[in-house]
Amino acid sequence: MREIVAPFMSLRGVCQLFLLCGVHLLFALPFSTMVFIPGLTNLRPVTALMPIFGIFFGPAGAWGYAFGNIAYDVLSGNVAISCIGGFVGNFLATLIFWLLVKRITKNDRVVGSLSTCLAYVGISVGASIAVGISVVSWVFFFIPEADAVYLFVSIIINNTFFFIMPGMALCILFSTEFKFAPYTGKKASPPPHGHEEESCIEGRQEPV
Amino acid sequence: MAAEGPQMNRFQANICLICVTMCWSVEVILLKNIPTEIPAFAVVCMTNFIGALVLGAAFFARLKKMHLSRSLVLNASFLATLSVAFNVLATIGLRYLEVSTGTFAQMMTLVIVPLALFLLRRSVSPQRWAGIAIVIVGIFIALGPSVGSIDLLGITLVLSSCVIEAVYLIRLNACAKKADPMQLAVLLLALISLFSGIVWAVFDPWSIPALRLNAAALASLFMYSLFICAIAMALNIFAQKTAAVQDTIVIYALQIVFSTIFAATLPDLLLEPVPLTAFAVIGCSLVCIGNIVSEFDYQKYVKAVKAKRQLWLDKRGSQ
Repeated sequence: MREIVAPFMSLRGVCQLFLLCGVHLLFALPFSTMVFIPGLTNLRPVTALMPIFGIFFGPAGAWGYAFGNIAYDVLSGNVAISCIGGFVGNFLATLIFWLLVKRITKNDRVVGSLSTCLAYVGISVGASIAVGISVVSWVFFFIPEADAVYLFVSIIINNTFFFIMPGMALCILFSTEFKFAPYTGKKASPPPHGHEEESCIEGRQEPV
Repeated sequence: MAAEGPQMNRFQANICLICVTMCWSVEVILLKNIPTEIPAFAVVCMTNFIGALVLGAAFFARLKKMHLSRSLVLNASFLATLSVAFNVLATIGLRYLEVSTGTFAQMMTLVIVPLALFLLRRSVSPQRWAGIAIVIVGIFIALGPSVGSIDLLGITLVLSSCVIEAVYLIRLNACAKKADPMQLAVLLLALISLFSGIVWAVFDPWSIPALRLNAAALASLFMYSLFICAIAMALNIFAQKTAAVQDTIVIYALQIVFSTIFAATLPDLLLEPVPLTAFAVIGCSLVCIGNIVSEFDYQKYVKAVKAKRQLWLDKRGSQ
């Protein structure tokens, strides 16, 4: 729990969170015209960033993605009650990637073998279902006239597709070519000698 | 301090190449939203230009530190020329052929690349040859009984484009192993944009001032630039640093499998649905089997099984 709120405990954590939120908006806004269900959902290629945010930035990535998603809904004029579900769902889904990062990492290699690849696909489906349930439950209670089943299926297909393509390959590229290390959160526990500022910035680029 | 960390292995390179192939398969969905009156080379010019800008901006700090060598510029110019040339030939040639015949003829790159490697005295293992043969049979079956109606001019143009594409792929694979992949990707996108812009200006100059784009078309162009130009090009070049060219072309053949799956499953909102036929299922299965035959590392698998067996025997003996 402490690690999940850690990004708000330091200035660098908050800056990182805003930066990730900005990156999300930069990739999301150009596609706001590709609508699946007017007012509820559209084609979101930005979903490909979710595994990257979760695996390499941990809780800061999860907050950044969730806030980015709600800012996108506001800026693209898609404000609805389901946005709250979207916030919760996207936060949880990004967090799932972080929590299960060990399943997709073997010998410091992200998705480097068939078993980790299958684990990644399984996690992607699980994360998509988390987003789907979270959004659809709000829609089901507050917008009963909406087609909840179609919305659920479209969210799962949209998310799983972009998690795998190009999400998986981008994760490989981030770890092998851009030398990002998966966020393990090991240094997130209180540091002994007053290095609080560094406590929540793990998982970023290693020194080159 | 030098950056430490794992290098991309063969499995990861193959995943990246599969992802590139999937990116290319969604091309038709994106092109659906771009008005048909916009010439093909205008789309190539604009999307590659935006792709180069996006990659250049995202990796500006990395690119700024690098020296732009003369040999890299020459290599990238040569590759961009080849890319535009095979696209021009294929675009013109495909007008003379039926869709299925044209698609099958385009897949001849699969045969030409290993033949070219053979002529260059580079070995292609029997495992790869077997994989390629199965893939070609799979594509032939997937396209159905309509393959065969041949127009001589069309087939000559498409086959010429395949030869040039094969040279492009072999050269790109060699360059990716020497140059910095990001530098090569940005330069290549920029030069392809420039050269296709020249082709656009020569073949259809009046469409330049008449260009009008709505919001949906702009979003599609941006998505095309991001996924098919920037991300796919970067992934492709990074993966080719590790992958051999003969592996690359076998994985590229999966495009027909992804296109068939998308056409059969995606809602008509995104794509005109095409029902699955028995020919398509058998053909696509053969393409997948060909990929497995070509890419599966049998020796490593046999070694791992033997090691496990030995471990089990040792354990049993000690008990």
